Amino acid sequence: MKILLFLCLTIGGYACNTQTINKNNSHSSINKSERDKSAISKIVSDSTVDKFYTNKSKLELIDSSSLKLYDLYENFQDFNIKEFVKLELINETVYNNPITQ
Amino acid sequence: MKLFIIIPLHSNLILKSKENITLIDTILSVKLSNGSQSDSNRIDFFSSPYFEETKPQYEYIGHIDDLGVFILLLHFWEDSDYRFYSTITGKELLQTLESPEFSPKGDKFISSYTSPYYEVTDLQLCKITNTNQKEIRFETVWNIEFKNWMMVEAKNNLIWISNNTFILKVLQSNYFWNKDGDFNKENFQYLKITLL
Repeated sequence: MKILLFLCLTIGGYACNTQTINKNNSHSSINKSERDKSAISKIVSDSTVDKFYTNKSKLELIDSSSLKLYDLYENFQDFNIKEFVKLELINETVYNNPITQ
Repeated sequence: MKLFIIIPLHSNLILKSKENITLIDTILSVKLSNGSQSDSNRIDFFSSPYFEETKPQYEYIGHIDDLGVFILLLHFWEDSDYRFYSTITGKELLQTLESPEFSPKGDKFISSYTSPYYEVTDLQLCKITNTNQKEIRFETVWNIEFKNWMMVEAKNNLIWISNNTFILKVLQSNYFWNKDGDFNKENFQYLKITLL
């Protein structure tokens, strides 16, 4: 009987502990995700094209996890793409709330 | 904040025609509109019963009556493309990787294709010429393959806001896939592209 009681307490204790760890992990990942999203939102809303053109030599996207820089214009072809198109980052609000005719 | 004005897409004019199309087994037959009422005034497309690399399976997408063309989607083994045919002669006029998204004036369109294998997005700009002639002509102005960002889906992720400007909903290529093997549903960014 003592052995049975010991096993119940051990397994129960482990289960509670695991639950706590999972909860903490998920809480932590939500915070990180929210933090990343808010960081992207801030970058996009702050990064008007004129500002990029003024302060940077080229337009850049910022990787929210590794903070590497990416060139919007980079492509596999040998012609200068800037002669054909102009690329600009815009805010999500503009995309999702257009004025319809 | 400045908001853009959305103009109805010309691609809404791609309409499926029931009276001009028949599909019997693997034969897709499209009626041509050159005035003749004879049975020979049709063009037949013979689909392969299997997915093959060289012989396609034909899927009817629709007619664009304003341009005098109909569009078919050709399915190959691990590949596909869209082809434009004249409704007068049945002649193939153009090939694109994806369905067209026309500019508001309808004089050009963008076909955008995302390759999940190479993790790049191709943009193809086509212009419509000879609009005063009997048969329309398409000119591919450029094809561009970008490295660092990808569109998730062609449809519903491209919006024309003027006749020379459109917006794409994109992901950085590094964020295209999530851990479950599906494409990412977060971290979208928005590119405004102006044709110069």
